[in-house]
Amino acid sequence: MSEKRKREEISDSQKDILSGDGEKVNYMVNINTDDDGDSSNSEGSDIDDDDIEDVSGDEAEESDDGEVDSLDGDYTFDDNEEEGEDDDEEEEKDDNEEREDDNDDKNETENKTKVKVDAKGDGDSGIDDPSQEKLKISKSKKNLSGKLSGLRLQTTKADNVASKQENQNSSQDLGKPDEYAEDSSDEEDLRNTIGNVPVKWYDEYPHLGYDLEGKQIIKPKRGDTLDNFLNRLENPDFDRTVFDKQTGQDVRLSDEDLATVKSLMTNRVPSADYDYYAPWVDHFTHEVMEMPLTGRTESKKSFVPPKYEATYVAKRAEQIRRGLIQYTKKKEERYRYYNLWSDAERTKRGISNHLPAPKIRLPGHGESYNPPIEYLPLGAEPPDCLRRVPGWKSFVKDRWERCLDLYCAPRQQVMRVTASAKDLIPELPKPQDLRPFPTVEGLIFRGHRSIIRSISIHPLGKFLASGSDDQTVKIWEISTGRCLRSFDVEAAVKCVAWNPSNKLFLLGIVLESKVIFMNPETYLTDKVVVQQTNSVFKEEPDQGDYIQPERVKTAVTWRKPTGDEWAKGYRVVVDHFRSVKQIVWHKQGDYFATVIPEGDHRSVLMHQLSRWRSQVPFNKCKGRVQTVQFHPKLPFLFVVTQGHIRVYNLQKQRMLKKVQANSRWISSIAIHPGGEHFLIGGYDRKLNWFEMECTRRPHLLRYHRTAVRSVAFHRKYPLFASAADEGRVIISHGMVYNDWLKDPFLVPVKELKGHSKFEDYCVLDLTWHPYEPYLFTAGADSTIRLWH
Amino acid sequence: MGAKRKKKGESGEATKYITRNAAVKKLQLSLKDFRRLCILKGIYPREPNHRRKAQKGDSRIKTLFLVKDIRYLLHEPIIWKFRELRTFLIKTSKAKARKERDKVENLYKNPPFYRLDHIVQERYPTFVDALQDLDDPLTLCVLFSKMARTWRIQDVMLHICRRLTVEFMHYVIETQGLRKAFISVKGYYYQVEVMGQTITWIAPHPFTPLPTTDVDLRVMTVFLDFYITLLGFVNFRLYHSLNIHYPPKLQGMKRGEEEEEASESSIVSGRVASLNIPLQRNKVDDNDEEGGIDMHLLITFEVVRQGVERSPGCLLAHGSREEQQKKKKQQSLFKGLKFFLNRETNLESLTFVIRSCMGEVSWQSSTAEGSTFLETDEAITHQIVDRPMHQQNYLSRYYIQPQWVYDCVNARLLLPVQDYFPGVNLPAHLSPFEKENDLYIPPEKKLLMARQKGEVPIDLPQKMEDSDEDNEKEVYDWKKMKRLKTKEFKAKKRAMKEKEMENEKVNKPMEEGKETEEVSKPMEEGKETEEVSKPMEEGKETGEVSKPMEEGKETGKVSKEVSKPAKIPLRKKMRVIRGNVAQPKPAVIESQEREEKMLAVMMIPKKKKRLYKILNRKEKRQTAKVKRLTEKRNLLEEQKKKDKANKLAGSVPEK
Repeated sequence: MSEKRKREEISDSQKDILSGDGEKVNYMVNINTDDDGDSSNSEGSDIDDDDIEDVSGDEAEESDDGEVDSLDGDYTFDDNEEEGEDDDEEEEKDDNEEREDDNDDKNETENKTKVKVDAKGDGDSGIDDPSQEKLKISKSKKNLSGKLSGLRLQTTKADNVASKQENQNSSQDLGKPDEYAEDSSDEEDLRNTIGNVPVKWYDEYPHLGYDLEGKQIIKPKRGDTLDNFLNRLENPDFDRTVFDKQTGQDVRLSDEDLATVKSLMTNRVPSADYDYYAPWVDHFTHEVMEMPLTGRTESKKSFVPPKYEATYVAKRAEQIRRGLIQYTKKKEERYRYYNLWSDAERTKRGISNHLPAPKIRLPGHGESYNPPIEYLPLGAEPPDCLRRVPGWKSFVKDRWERCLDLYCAPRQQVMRVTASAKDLIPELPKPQDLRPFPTVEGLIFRGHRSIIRSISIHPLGKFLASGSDDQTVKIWEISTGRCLRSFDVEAAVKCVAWNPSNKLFLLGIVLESKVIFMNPETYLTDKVVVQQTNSVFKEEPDQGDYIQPERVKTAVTWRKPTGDEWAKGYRVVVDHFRSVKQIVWHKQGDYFATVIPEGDHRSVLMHQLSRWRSQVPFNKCKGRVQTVQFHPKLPFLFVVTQGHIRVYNLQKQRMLKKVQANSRWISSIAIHPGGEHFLIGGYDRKLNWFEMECTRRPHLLRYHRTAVRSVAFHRKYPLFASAADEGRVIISHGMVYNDWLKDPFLVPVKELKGHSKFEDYCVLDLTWHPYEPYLFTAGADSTIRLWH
Repeated sequence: MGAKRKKKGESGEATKYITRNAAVKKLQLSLKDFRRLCILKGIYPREPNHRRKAQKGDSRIKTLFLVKDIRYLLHEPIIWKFRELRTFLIKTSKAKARKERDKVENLYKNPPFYRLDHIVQERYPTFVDALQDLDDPLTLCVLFSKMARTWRIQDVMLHICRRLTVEFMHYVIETQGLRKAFISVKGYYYQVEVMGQTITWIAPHPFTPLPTTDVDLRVMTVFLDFYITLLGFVNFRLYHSLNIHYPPKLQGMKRGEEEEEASESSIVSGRVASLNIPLQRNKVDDNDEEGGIDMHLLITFEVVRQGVERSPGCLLAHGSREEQQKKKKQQSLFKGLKFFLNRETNLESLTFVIRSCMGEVSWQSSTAEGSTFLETDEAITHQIVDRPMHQQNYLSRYYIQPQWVYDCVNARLLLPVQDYFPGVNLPAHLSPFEKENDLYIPPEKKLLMARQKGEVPIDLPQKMEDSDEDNEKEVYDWKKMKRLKTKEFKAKKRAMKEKEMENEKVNKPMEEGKETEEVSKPMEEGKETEEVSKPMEEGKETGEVSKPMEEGKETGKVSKEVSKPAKIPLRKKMRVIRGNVAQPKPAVIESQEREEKMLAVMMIPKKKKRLYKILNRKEKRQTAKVKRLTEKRNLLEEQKKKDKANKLAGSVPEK
């Protein structure tokens, strides 16, 4: 800060000089401060204070003027006196103001901000404030210390100076150079007579010191502003004239002084005759002198190696000797080859169960650079010579991928199959050897107008009954395919079943919750049997003292048909409490079972036709009953739920076994006429062949691609058929041996296709002819087909 | 009480495998080092039999290693070297960061490195094991020997690769071990037999192979490091088995001379040159080549072989006498022949192939170092040329294209040179690796096989005799027609059917007539019946033919013939005619068979069904491929013929 400030001042002063302004005192002071290194700092701090006070206002600034003025003398105790000064300032204010007015014309008021310059100008321009000075003096007297001597209170020898010209001044300077040479102190010679005291003490007096005779030396007369102005115009030396505070005279600066000032302002060495480019004197030369400065002989120490060095060397030498340090170490070769497999002894491979990587695939004809033409893409030409074959772009990548495979790809031992697909096909007997079985479509029975749900063949094999969704039951002649009779019924027919007895000509049909037994007599039927049938059902059987249990009573009601119904052919009507799905005859023709899927514990009902009696055989029902079937030989009943088959002994009234079907949803069951095997078709496309003993796992036959609807065994031939929604009926040869240990021989022999699809249904029911190898299928396309 | 309950994951599959992350943790290595260790030690992940069990219930796919393998890695001394390397890296990087140059220099003076000798021995306990696994090392070394030097690929490695591959090729030349050589689009495939093991490797085409950006050369260099070690040891052993000094000395060349001149170009040329210079032997060989196998013993082998012939990869088949003779013939295939290679040919490959079949090779001395004789040498029998030659200076030699050399080696006989003259359209270059029992055999291959068997004179050039192929073409003719003109063909077929129906109609009454006559006159003399029955038999035969008839011409012929016997009853002569057994229609039979097959397929047990499906699909694909190829071939050949005919037709008026 102080440095900067200094420079500012200097520049200011320069400006003054150049402009020829009258503030020469100011100039002088500046030079002085510059010379004085000690004071610069404190002065700076003072200036700081000034700055702060600047902010407070002009008045304060003005008041400071005096103080700044006194800087030369008493700046050291400035800080201590601050309080007092402040008081003083207040007092002084008025006077200051007055004087300001006087000085306004003299000083450039526009320079107010340049505090110092103005202030000093004020102070030096002989505007005295005696009261202030007095106070100051009294205060300073107290604190004057030894330092005072060091201060530059430059007083001129008043008398001399007043009369003498500037030239004289300079001659004086020249006259005593030796004085400076000896005395290095920064005290300047004082040319006034007041001694080393502040000049401002004389501010209020017209004189400045005393001469030898004790007379007052009158201050040289200073002109007023006008004089100053005139002087500026007239005097050619005005711009190099400086006012000397000490002597109160104007001093004309010599050329040397000016040069000094200039060099100072440009931050150079002040003395003008300083030689910047003086020749270099090498005081501390590196050159060895011919003759040493000292004649002493070298000590022994300088010749003898130090002891620590000797121990170090010995240590290293020992290390080298021992081979710990090798300076001539040969660089080891990275790859050094020798006979690695020299000893015949076979070491074990470290990796366990090593699977060698497969070799690189070898190229075929197609990868040749000049392949046979058929391997080339159409229109491409092979290169006409080897020279033109380009490099393979991804050669490096191929190798990299191989590397990747070698260390990243998991390895597994896989058995390579050398067999061809043909070898896997089992050798089956020729279907020709397994004849007879139906192979072609023989007859189509047309007449129904809707889906045919169920068909049944009369035990004698002459008639076919069919029940359809168009609410008709039709009787067909098998040999010709004629429709003999058609009965309109009240609802869609769910199931039809002929009575297996020879003595009765009776057809059981299921209409929603009703089971109706009708006599569908035709002109072709045996009259005796028809009559016999009619006569049997003319009258209700005598119930005697039999009282129907409540459970049954609520479930089933037997009744005689009304007159109309009788005319229609109805003979007995059995009303059930819910809709019936199926009716199954026992082989003797007296008993039959009905299935009510929603009947809960009464879903299976047993009935006796001859006595019009019903029975609920099961108290509990586990799962929804899909279908029931009688054992062909023994008094067993197969009850099929969704996932299980339960076999009950009806005589002993207990369950014989429960078989878990290898199927998620059973659709149908067929029991082998021998009674030892049964076949189960499921909606999950599976066909399972079970043995009654269930000693082995069922034979799973995956013939179909969609849900299996119905399965049936032929009564005489070793044939069975299965029908699925995809429209295929598959005839299989299923030979059963008496030897229980021998597996049944199952061979699919024929695939029959013919029925067309209707709403995803195709073949819904199939039955075999009782003694011929004919198959009847009822389809959703409202046809019945005979295959022979 | 009862037995202690088994806990899950404490035995069996679950304890057999360890995931990669767990293995890394167990070995206390970084993943990078673990990978490097796996590569060097030849440890690879395994596919478990039951993934979920192996991963203790986790069914995500993870990389699994055998626990045993990882345990085996635990005590590997090389792991310590990895750690040393790591510390070295840290030290150097630190020193570099501090700009301590001296320290860095000092460190680089002696960087840690590892040797893989013990690993080679562990991985290949016997020499044969190493030979069996030599395919990949050779291929990679050959690749690197041709690569350009980059900052990633050290100079030293490239030099060693070059040296080792050339050494191996030298060995093959010395033992005449080359069996097959094939130029594919990807590169040159060589198959050699070394100590009874077949080794195949691929050399790139003579351009500098460039790595693409997705290739991780770091991984490859780790592999290369191991392969260099392995190949060096193998070479050492091989050379010692031949009683040749290793590293090899070339005749007339001082050792060290090579090594001194290590500039890039000189190495490349030196590599080719060295292949053309025979090796120095330690001693003069006194044992003949016959020394190996006594030929009379092989006869017994052959007898044995007949029983075992079907089993593939049987060693006996390898050592049969025929095979041995063929091999011998191949080994000395170019014996006494002198080849001169033009500068545009692949010198290295040709030199290797020719020299390993005992031929002599040279080239212009300005092309590369190592030429042994001049172009003006009158003893040169073949000059290999790969660009159009306008003038052939020497009449004493054949100018041929390089493919001839490779084809000869693969065919094991000297093929007619006429096919390979410069400027001539080359015959197809067949792959020697294609199996002989493959479904589709291109006609060129058939010809070659015939030549090998001696059915076709070897001297006959390929283009002269097309008679072999003509028969086949006829067979394919109808197929082609079907493909090209399906519509026409269908129409024809329909017409044929109609005609057939007519024929049948004609036949039927005739047959009825026959029967009646037969019944009426059973007591006739044999002579007459024989005479008369002859035309009938003809008719019958033609009738039979007519059913599966495929060409319109034949039908016409048949109809004419059929018309003749129709007149017979008019003759009213007494005769007995042999009756016709009613043959079911082929279409019916076919459909029946199809159905039977379908039913039989249904009876395949579930276990095998998947396999059956896969195999079936595969077979179908193969047959489809064969069909496609044959059809394409015929089509193209037809086109060629047409073009030729057109050309001829065009050229006639010009003349």
